[in-house]
Amino acid sequence: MELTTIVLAVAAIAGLYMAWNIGANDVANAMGTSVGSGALTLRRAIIVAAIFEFGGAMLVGGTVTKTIRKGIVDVGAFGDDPMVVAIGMTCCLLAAALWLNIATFAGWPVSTTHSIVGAVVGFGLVAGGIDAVNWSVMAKIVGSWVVSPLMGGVIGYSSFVFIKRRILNVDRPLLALRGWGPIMVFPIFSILALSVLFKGLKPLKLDLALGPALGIAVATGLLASFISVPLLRRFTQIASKDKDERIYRAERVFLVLQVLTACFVAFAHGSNDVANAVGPMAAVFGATSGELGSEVAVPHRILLIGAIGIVVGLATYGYKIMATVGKKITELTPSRGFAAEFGAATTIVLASKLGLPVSTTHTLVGAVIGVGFARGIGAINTRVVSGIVASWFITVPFTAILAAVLFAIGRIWLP
Amino acid sequence: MRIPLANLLARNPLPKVGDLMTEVVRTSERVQDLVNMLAKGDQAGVERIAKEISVMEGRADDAKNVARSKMPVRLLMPVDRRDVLKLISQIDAIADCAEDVGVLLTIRPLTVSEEMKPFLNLFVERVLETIREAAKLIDMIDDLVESGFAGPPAERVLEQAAILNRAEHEADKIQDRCAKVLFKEEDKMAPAAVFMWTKVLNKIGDMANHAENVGDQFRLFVAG
Repeated sequence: MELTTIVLAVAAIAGLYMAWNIGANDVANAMGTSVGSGALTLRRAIIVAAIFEFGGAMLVGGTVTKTIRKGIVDVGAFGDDPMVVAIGMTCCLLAAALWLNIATFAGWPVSTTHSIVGAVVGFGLVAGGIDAVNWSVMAKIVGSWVVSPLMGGVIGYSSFVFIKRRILNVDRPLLALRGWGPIMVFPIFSILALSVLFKGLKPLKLDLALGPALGIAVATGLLASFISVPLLRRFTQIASKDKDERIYRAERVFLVLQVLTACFVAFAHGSNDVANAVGPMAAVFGATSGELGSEVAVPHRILLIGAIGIVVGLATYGYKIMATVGKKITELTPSRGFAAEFGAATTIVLASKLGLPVSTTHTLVGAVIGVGFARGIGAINTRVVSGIVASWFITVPFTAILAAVLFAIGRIWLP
Repeated sequence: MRIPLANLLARNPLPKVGDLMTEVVRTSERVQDLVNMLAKGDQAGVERIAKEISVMEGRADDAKNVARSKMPVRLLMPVDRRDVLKLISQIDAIADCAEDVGVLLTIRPLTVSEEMKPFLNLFVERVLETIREAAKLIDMIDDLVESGFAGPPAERVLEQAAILNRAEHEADKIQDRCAKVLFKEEDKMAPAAVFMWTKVLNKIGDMANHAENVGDQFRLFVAG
């Protein structure tokens, strides 16, 4: 068999495996709260997640993919042989997948994103030396890892403080929801629409510049708000004398809003995390077809492979994790879940647009902690937080070294 | 499985306090029996119940230790850990005082004058009432956590804390009456008996004082 064929096959398998892993392990973050609160059945959650993950991956996944493929290391610095990139990126996929397996087995809260970024850096260092790594891009990426949980936290905190003050703790929460509900629906839809429309619809040749995209996004948000007015009116009609009953009803309404934000998170997750599988794969395919370093956009069939991998992971194993997460996070009531997910999704979509590969899990954890700071959660286990901080410092060096070692071995077959 | 989100949310560490309060209320209620025995002049009965209270206080101590040990160190909680610990020790102090009342009554057998009997009974009743009002606060913890320590549940907590304050005040007033009755009869009594009575009345009164502190602790939860 030819070397190219072997490399392509290994890259495709490793890439699919990564995508499967992302679908199996990480999608539960998006839908877990909705399953836990009973807003969605497990089956429905999987279907909804599949749709939005797929949409996010296909529509907005390209930008981050490009960063992982070409932004972190300068593929031009490896000489003329495209096989260096092909073998190297394949090794990156293998290293990240191996690390994720170890972490999953041990239950460490590591990030898929950090794993792949670390691997690519390790490969870059061995293949092209220190100068091959684009350190300014790396600095931005690493910075985003700290900023994204913080930003998710700040938005989660503010959202929940707002909900608490304006809705849950007023005399008539249902009436308040009738007024504020449409206003809360607006940002979800407009941010979602903006992320899709603003350079998101390249394959359909429908991508827009910021100006018109912004206009249509605002219009979409307004439309959704208007549609939500009669719906909310129907949901909030039950007039109850009992204060507790009214709060309970208000939480029921939040179930609906929470499903909306869960879809938003799934979309954001697809848009950011598909790159972890597809980025290196795109580099391998690009290199073997002689498009090394060229400005060709990420081929959509490769994004499609990643998107399908995520959906398959979701369907084959993700449901199991989702059931576990759902059972464990029942404390996150719909209003809290809404606040946390809104904070996380907004942050992730923004990062995806900037081409920054952030960790969706860590961002969501940050957002949940933000809600906790607003005294919205019984208690938060800070052990998880320290685990996450530790994984910042362990994952990248580990996958970097592993990818470097694998590449040093793989290099033997280079002509 | 690599599911940090599922491990992030810990169970609310406060509900264990409910078990402690149940034990404490049960222990305190025995003080009523103790005083009844005293009024009957049944010293053997007093000693028996004092011993029972002591055993029950031990059980309350166990519940206290469980409550304390079940409060994990690595938790970010919506209330200050120290405030929770203070709450636990205030609840526990109620049972400690109940035990002390039993001990005091066994050190030197006391007799209750006819004039004192109704006041003493009323006093213990009022003290127990105060403790029950404090227990109602403990039952509100779940709602309080649920609402993020604000809104209607928080208002209810403040209302209940006010009720608790009034109950303690009532108990205080009866305590003063008891003291007045006691010193009206001081000439007929041995000085040691007067001394012991003062101590007993104070200990019973302290039970209500600690119950009141529970309310103040809740005020801190809501305010902080």
